[in-house]
Amino acid sequence: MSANTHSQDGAHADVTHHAAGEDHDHDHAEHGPAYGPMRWITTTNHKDIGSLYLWFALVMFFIGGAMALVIRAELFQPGIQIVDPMFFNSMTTMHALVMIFGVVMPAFVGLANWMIPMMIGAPDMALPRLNNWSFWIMPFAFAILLSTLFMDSGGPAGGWTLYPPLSLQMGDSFAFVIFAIHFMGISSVMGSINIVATIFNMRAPGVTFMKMPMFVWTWLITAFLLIATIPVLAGAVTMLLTDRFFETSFFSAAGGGDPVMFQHIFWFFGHPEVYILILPAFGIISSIIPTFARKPLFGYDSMVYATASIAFLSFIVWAHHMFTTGMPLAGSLFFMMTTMMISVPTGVKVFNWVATMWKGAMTFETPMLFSIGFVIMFTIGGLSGLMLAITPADIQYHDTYFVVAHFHYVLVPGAIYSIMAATYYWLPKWTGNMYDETLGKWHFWISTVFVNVLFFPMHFVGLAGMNRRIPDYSLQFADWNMVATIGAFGFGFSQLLFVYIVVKAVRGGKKATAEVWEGARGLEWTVPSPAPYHTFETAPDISRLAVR
Amino acid sequence: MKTTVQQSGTRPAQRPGFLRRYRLPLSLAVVAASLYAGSIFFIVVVRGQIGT
Repeated sequence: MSANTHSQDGAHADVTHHAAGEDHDHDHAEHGPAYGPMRWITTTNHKDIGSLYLWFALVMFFIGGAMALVIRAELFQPGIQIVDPMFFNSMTTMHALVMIFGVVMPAFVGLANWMIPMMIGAPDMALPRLNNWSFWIMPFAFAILLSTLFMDSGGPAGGWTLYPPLSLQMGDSFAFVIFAIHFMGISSVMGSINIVATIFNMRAPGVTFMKMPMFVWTWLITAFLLIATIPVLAGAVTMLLTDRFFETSFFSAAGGGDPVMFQHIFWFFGHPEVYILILPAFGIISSIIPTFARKPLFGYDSMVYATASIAFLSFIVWAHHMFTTGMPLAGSLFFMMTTMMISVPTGVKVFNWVATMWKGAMTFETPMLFSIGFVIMFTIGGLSGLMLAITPADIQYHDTYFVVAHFHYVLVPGAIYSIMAATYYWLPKWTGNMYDETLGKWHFWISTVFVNVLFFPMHFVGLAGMNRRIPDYSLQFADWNMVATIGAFGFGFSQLLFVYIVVKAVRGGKKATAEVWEGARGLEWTVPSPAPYHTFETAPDISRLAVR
Repeated sequence: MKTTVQQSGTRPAQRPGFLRRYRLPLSLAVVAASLYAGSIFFIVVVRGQIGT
């Protein structure tokens, strides 16, 4: 497909690429943003919408984080201490829904909005009005979801997986939960279609697929995963809705339905979702490590193929979440082996990051610290994932805190760390100001100490048999739970430092250069800092530039 | 009445139709909608969950 047209949307129909080397950023300097709240409501500018997504994710991060602190406060000591058990269950369910759909996914979409057009030399996203719509659905979806906590029947309390028959025992607020999930899904699918259309149609001349930065590649593959899986989740929750309110029996054994079928459909979405939450992180880390190692990314081609392999394999591993439901031996073996196979392309990535750093002229600015933290701690989460892939062992680990430790290691020092690394890395480009490096390093080290104090003990109590999703537990688990709760509060409050650093950089600070980082490569570093409101309305000349 | 462009003998630039301009996002939307309907269709028809 042609890469030299910007005509996907009427807004760009008349934009043509010209010869290279022109100073494109000054041609449209007078077309700045509008003023007032209507700027943000009606904007179709990819940078504005990226900022909206990122601020939204930050707000939701603190809402979801507050829920996590309620959970950890209750678990500080055995016994029912602070909250009603039903509310505790609502907190575990809502915490997951908010963190997955309200924090990690919107933050990655925000980063995609900001960076993909600038990385591929496009003036904006392909479908700017759809982009505006994708974002503005989200606050309404989450307002509906969070409002269920104030309804008579309370918020969802059956876990984020919404397994029937438990989820079907919820009150009338369940309809609002399903409605909210549908809206989140519509937003995600529209955003993904936009990203695919942008990458396919809006690349500057010469930016071939194999010259795209890894962040663009990982997002392209993630967008296809989203388009393929979110509708399946929507189908599953629609059937839950009709089972609950319209007397169907899709998943009700009493009416001839099959509750385990829901689990199959859910995890057909749910496991690729895991990679939706981590592939863009791989792209971010693949951008940052070469910059601070001052070397090109080792094994770029293998990184692309590894990403595609992970995406493919993610569709054929779903039943490893269901080993304890009982399945034929052949099924267990198949899902165990395919799950283990994912460690091969993932290992390729970790190897390539380490090889990129090998003999590099490394410096350890805050984005690099978060990236190295990512590589080490994501690998810890990956290794416990391998343990969980072993069917007979999983029957022991299933539904224990070992699983909680595993997925929090890949999601917090994994996905969340990558978002923080990306924020520190690109913040000077977004704001034109350098952030406070000393405070950034403090933020990293405090977070890293507390995140391990929080999640590492969960391995111990999980292996000893402590169940997840319970407000009470046996006395022998008390000490490590106390430690984990101290870690949770330490990690939670250390994120206030992150907000302070970001707000301080937005308000002012040492002026950033266009390149910002000495070893930075790519088109986004060729535009001034802060990036002008409109960039690359004239296509850049990439013949003299390293695009990736 | 002829336009200036037509009078000069050059053909006016034709803007591609809606379906052609938006064929990629529309086809992706069709895939998404089909997967949504397909997941329900699978249970209703293939698994025969309704009517048992």
